[in-house]
Amino acid sequence: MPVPLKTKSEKNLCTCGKKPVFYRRYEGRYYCKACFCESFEKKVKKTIAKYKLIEKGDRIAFGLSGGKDSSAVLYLLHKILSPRRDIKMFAISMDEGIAGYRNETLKKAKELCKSLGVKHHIFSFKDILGKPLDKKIIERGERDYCTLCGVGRRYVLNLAARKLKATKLCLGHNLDDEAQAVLMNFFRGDLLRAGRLGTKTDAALSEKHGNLFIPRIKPLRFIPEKEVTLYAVLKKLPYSDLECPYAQGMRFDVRDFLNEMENKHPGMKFALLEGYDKIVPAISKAVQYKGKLSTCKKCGEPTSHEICKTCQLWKV
Amino acid sequence: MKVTVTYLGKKQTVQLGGGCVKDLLKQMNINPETVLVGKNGEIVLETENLKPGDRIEFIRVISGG
Repeated sequence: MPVPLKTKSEKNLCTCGKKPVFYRRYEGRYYCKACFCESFEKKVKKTIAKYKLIEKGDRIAFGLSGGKDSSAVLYLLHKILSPRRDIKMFAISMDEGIAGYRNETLKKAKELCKSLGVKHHIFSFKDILGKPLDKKIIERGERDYCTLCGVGRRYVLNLAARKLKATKLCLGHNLDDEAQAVLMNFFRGDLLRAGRLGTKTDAALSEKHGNLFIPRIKPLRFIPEKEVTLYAVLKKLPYSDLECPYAQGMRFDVRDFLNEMENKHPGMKFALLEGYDKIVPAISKAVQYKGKLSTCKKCGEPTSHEICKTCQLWKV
Repeated sequence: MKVTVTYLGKKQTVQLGGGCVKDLLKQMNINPETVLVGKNGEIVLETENLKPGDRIEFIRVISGG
């Protein structure tokens, strides 16, 4: 029997007949609050299943900044996994020492963990790396803030997750973050790093390093940033929308460029990531790391150099 | 008509000739990809029509760093 054609007013409703709050342009479909949240959760569950992100007996550490992405992934995975007794979950936040910013986002992180009953651990740059980021920047006269901070964050997060015996480190990276990383690596000609991006990273690398790297999982990798924000808003999650005062550099130019492109060509970010994922095996094969993977002579953490990048920049 | 717009923590009154949220975004030079739209406290589509006195909030999608 032929499906009756929808009238103009029906076309602008969710398929359940309710008033929509979101129009997914790359699907050409309207969603009400409930159907959007259901679709969002279904997509994340599909990613978890497809890439086998969670395994029996996992101890999952969530990197929680207090922003919308990490808050949404913690909330949703807690909702999905809390009935499972074999899975343990806890959150790790970092206090880099950025006055007027991190203290505000940490308040939100604490609030979310308290409401979910999730144990929350806070590690500071001051304790692990010797000094807060603000002080380090002044001392070094550093201008490449994001590299200095990013190197420190990866180091501290991995160290903290390992100390807390995590088997997985769950991050809130979304589609926009990943699409930005793809373009940035190409723009920099850094194909070695480009070959490492993925939904579940560092698993093989961890084994090569005597399991010093905690494998990272990214359940939101195929969810656009706008949809993560909408989910966090609709679920009334406590999160901070403050932007880091040091935010600058290529990532932000790439971000604006991708948003301009997405506005003109819906679905472009998906296409970029899908295309990239298809050529990853070829990239990895072509630019396979030939050096020796070892541990840093100063701090004992995994590195491909004699002295790791964190010790070089932070003199741990 | 005049509507009240909150964006980036600032509240302002904007005069526009009528239309919908999309027209307001265009007038304020805001990329729709970077915001969600709240109207009188509810999340709405960019095609939502506006009327005088509406309270619009553009919720920034991009954040962090």
